[in-house]
Amino acid sequence: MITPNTLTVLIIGLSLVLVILLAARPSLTTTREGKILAFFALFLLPLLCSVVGFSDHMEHSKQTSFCLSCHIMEPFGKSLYVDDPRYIAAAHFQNHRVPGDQACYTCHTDYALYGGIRAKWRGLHHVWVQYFGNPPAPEGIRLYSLYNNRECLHCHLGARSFEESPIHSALRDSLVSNETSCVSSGCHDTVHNVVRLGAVKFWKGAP
Amino acid sequence: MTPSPVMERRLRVSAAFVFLGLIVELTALRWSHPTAFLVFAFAGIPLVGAGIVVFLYSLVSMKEK
Repeated sequence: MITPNTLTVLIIGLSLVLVILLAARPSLTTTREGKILAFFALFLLPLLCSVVGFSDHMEHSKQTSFCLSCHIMEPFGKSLYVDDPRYIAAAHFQNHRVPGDQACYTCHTDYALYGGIRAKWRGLHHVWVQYFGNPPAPEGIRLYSLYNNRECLHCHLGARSFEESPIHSALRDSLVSNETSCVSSGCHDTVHNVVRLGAVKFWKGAP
Repeated sequence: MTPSPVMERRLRVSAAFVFLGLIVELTALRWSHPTAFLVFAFAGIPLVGAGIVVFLYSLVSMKEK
């Protein structure tokens, strides 16, 4: 089956062939058919390649492997394999509560209008800091603002395990209003905890 | 019948920009790293864009015979 990525490569390949043809034989453009060919080769197809390629990149940037390809993120990737259910990120990743291939994006995007765009913008800022700023040590990385419960409740609200928990029921309103944080009010406060990675056991992964 | 030398040169310049841009885009697409996105967005797209602009300019500046 042809994947979107293969299709993009095929379109770029076709464009390249047509562009080479036109560069080698500009006299082709003297005919009506040649003009149409030039319009396709030098306008429509390159435009299509850029739009499809950009969309492909945006989609690809959701991949866990993409986020972890930066050296600074390595400890965070490692933390997904901690063999301790109190580690929220690890518990979600290992039990497939988030898709394994989009683990970072699933928790770190905003489930709001333009949330995806904001997440990508932050990602772009991270790349900028990596090359032109002073990137902090992995253990010094902090969220821009307090983690919003909305991102947790996007999946957990309405789920049986959440609704039947007496603590969640008692705190429901303050959790929904973000008054009580899921991750920093003493309940689920061990998330990646990369500082302690040297002192924990690791799960070897699914066979 | 051949296109005027000016038109021919503009077509070749446009083709060169588009060719380079597409090669950069193709390379960036085969590379899985945040830097690849930057290369795609800040080198590939502008090169292709420049080629398109030169091509469109060659069309609007073409003299009627």
